Amino acid sequence: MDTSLLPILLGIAVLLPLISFFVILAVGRWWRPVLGGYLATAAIMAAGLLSLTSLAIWLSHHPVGAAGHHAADQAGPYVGDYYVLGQFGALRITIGYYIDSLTIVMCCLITLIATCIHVYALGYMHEELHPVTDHEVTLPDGSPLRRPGRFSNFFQYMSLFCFSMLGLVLAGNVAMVFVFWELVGICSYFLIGFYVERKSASNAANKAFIVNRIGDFGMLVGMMALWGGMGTFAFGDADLNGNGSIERSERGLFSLVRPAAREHQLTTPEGLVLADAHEELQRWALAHPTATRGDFESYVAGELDDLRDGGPDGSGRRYGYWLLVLAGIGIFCGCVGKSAQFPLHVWLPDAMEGPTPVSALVHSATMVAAGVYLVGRFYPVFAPEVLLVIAVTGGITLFLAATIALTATDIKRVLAYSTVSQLGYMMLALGVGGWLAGMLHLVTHAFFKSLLFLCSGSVIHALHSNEMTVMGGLRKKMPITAATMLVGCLAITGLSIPFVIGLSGYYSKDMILEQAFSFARENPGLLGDGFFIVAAGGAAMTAFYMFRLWFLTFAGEPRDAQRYAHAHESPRVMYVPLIILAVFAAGVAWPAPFGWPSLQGLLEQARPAGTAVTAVSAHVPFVWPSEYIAHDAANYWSIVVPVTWLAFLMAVAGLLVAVAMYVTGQLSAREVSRQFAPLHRFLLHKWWFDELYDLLFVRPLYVVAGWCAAIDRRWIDGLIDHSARWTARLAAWSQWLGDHTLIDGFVDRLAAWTYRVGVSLRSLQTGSLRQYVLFLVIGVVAVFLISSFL
Amino acid sequence: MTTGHLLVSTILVPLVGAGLLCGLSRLGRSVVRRTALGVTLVTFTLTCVLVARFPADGVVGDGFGVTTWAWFGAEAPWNIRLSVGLDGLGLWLFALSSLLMCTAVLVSWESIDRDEPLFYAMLLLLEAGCLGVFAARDIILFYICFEFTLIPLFFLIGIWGSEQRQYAARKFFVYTLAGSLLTFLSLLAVVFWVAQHTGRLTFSIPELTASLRTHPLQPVSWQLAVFAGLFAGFAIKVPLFPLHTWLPLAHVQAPTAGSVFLAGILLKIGTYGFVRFNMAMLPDATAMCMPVMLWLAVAGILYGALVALAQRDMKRLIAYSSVSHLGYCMLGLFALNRLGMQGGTLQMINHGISTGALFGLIGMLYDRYHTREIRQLGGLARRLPWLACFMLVFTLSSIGLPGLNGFPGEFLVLLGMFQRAWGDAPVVESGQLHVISVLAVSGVVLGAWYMLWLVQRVFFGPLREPRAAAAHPITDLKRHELAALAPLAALVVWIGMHPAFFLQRMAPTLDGVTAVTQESLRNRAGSVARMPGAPEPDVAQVVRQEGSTRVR
Repeated sequence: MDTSLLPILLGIAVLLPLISFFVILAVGRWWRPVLGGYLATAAIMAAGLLSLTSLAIWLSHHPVGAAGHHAADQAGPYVGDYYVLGQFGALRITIGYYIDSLTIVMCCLITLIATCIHVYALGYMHEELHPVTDHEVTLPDGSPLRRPGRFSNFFQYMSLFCFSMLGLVLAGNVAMVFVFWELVGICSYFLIGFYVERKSASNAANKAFIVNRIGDFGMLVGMMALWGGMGTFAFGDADLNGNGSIERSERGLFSLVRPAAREHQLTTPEGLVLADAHEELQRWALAHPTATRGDFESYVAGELDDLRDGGPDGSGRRYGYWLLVLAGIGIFCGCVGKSAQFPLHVWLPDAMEGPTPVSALVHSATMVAAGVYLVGRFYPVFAPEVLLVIAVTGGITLFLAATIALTATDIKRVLAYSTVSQLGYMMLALGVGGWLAGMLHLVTHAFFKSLLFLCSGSVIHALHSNEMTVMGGLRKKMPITAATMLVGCLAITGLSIPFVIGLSGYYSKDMILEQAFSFARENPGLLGDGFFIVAAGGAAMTAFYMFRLWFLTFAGEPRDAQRYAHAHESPRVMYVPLIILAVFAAGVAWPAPFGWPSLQGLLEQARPAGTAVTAVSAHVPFVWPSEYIAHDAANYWSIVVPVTWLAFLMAVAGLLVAVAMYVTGQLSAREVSRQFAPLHRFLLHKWWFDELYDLLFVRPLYVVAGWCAAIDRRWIDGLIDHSARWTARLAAWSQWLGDHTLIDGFVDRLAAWTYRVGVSLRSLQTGSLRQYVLFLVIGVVAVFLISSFL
Repeated sequence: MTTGHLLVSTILVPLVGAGLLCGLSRLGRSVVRRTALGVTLVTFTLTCVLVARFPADGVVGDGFGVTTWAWFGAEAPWNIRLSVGLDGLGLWLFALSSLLMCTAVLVSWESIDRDEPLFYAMLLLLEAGCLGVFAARDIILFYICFEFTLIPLFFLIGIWGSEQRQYAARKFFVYTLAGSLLTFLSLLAVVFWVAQHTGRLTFSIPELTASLRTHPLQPVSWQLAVFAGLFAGFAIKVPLFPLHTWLPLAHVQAPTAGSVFLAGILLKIGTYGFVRFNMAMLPDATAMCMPVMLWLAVAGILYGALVALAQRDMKRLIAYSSVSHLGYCMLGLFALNRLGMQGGTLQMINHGISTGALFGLIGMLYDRYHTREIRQLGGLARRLPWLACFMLVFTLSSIGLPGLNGFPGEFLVLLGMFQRAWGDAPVVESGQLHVISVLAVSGVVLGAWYMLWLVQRVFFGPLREPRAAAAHPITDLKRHELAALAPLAALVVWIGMHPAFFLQRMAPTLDGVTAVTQESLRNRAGSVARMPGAPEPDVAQVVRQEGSTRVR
């Protein structure tokens, strides 16, 4: 079959869950609820088959070499658009795809795990088929809440979630990534808040969404800055006008940042350079008032390389470089939110409020994996300084989460913190230059962590409790769960027969340690050594907390006899997925199993161009050794052998401490926790992060908001009200002065005066005729006298 | 029927309806409200026909469905005419007005229980005024309609409002009137400037815009003064921070229908005026004021969001979220490029739909519980599943979830802003524009915060209802409430899925505006615009003009 089928097959695989979502949304109300579950499961299963078909097509066209690192292994991505949503000048907003082996591996991984989880959930969620009594919610009258079951709603959200996640990995441009990114976020909001009546669940859903939004803030800034500098959203080059050549406007992000003409070296794109250097260009433009547009463009073309690389000798300012770093950090912020890295890791443990299949899907294998996936996808865009930030973040997260997992007693929370810690491993690997190591651990972790979550769900299902303090001795009652979970524990611990064979975690974790060691060799010092020490120490802690979990749950004697008596192995619909996942958790990373193509080789085909060479930074004194160095035959004795043994010993040490504490009892857990009481309390309270953030951010924000509201009421609105009052007072005064006193006053006074004159003259009006005649005579005489004298 | 007749009759139908309702005042409540609904539905149907006839790729130059009567006879020396027509900017606001009026009538269906004929007559008058504003092609007609919208709303708030209704009505009226008088003076100044230059007194908006393109208002200080006058009226209307304080009060006191229409349409008259007059007629002043306007917009975004976070009253919370969202509209518009302009205009429509619907929903809650206090309610999703479902949809739309209408608007606005700041900023401001663009993004976080907080408190968690509510049964959405919300929800999804339908009809008109302002921006800064592949084809041009170059 032809590779042109790939986009079609994968496109359908993405759409199937969406269709299932809409069908359940439209008619689920009138169906028997169980049909919704079957439909969603069938959809994801079909999507899985399509993904596997694409994998087969891919392999037939791009055979994977022996599990080695060969630059020639790289197989170009298939890039194109399904549909153009809108065109704004040169900006195309499209629904596009970017298919390389990473995409296909991710699609297979997501659909495979999601299929197992769907099947499992058919059994796990069966209570929701009937009206449910939720004992965690008490009504005002003290009785527990009774509500209708939400079986089909659950599968509806699961379908939407699978669609979003598949869309995210198939996305061909940044805008689409952001769209699916947000959709993944909102699906997790619905799924975490599935038990919506519980206050803790709706709180956790809100927390998850808002914390993710904080990361998205950085991501938006980063992607917008990249877009502002490059004018495109697309990842890959696409021949849009079909003339057989790729022009400037058809280039994607990756080839703009690492142009083939510069041997895929990290190159600040032109737009960012000029954006940063606008003052210089301005100066030139003002100095050459007669220059035409053509002159200007040729000047820019001539100066571009000097501006970008800091002059001919590279000592000057590198224009635009810091913008590229900023954009990279911005994108990484989004990944920090989604992948629950320090300092935004606080939402993931709370998100365990969702049903356990959700935890397995959303918080182990897919959603949190999205952040790591995106770092892997954007790897070519990250400048070395960004990689350093990634490594530091990963290292801190790894350590932090592993320590909290040591003391947690809620079985799901142990797994949650273990997830955070393993994601820290992946980030650390990516940050020290181990692209393949990070991606490989992403895949292996997805399998064993979903297995572990589902096993814990099986236990919770049997005991109706999350607390490990009421478990114990369950291996007799639940042999299959115990066995599969043991496989998961061994896989995550990375136990092996060194150099012979191991479970999947052995391969990926060793690869990370080797790269960290290789990095530490090149960069001796606090950070370089620190990364390796943290990673190695983390391996011991992983072994300890995972086996602590297993021993507390399955070994020893039952701690709660009543619950134990009711415990039972889960039905077949739940344990068959466990077995399938256990097989994958054990074997997925085997190099060339039975002569099949290895996962490592397949992923290697997707390695971004130009990331396999040793990189140096001009601004920070670090060297990022090529990932090939650690696997070079010349370094076998100096890197591979010591690191493999160290990893093995660390894991065994952790395991032995767990055995000593929880099986043989040579060490008493209670004694140890009493010995280190302050530390124990510190870890039990999760390093006080929730309280700290509440104190540092949430409360101050509300205080500031309160101030703003007060300012609004008192000052801004007060100003308006006062000005109105003063206007009214002014009007009253002007009425008094102008109208009342001056104008009206004058008229009034005139009238009053006339009136007064009239009144005083009234006394003359006597009504006596003789008196009038007398006045008349006097008047006439007076006139005569006056006229005769004149 | 020609489109011209259609347009005129669309505007006249509500006027006639208002008259009819005053005549019907003896008849019973159900006849009155049915008549009112009938009138709004007829108007809406006519509008739909207009939208369907509107050319898919927009109109350039002369508007669509232009109809003109010489008011004082063709020979009169003052050339004031009754002239209406639609273009890409007015079309959607016009359509939204006629849709939201149906919603407004439906949400009042049971909550208004006195003087119904007068109430619905006022609503219809308000509708006619708004339709006139968005269709007017003559400054005097525009101004008459602009002022005319105040009167019905004044009575709606003053008669049918809550406790402080008279204070609110007075404040709303005086505040907006004070601003709009300055606006009127500025409009006259523009008219007389053009009359002086062309020797022909005209009040026609397209003619004025065209002649100002060849003879811009000079000197620039005059333009700035006129800009300030227009600003006074429009900024209060938008409302732009810090002129917003009348808005929460008016919203809280207004009856639900008043709030729906106030948020949905009346605020948009301000943004509409900015595009129609400030940008198109005073491009130089617009270019000079751009940073200030952007600062005000971003201040509104953050300040509105913060104050919303502190509110305990649902209606006040949504009112302050309006301040924040309108800040996004203004941010997009004053990015002065194609993306920002289209995003800002789309965001006007989005805000009208989702905030209108949110006010409607809060009114429905108030009808049931007689409270708007957030802390008195909780867990209502179980009691009112459909209402909660709609609430969630409109909340998600307002926080910009992809697939719903808020996303394309917000995204385009931010794209436009980033293009302005990082792509082709005029030199002097690029530093502060960077800050503005990053601050604007942080509004996205706060927006999700207060909206989700509201939904969680009121609809999720354990059930909590005011004790008084237990007396009478609480029912989920009734038929008329469903009819009010469902079309808006459909529109939310439609715009979210296929914004191109709306954008391509408005694009040519907006491009005309950006072309002028872009030119002024370049003249002003003498900037070297340099984004490769930037949407405007002629950006990479070095333009210097004497006197307007301001470079340090």
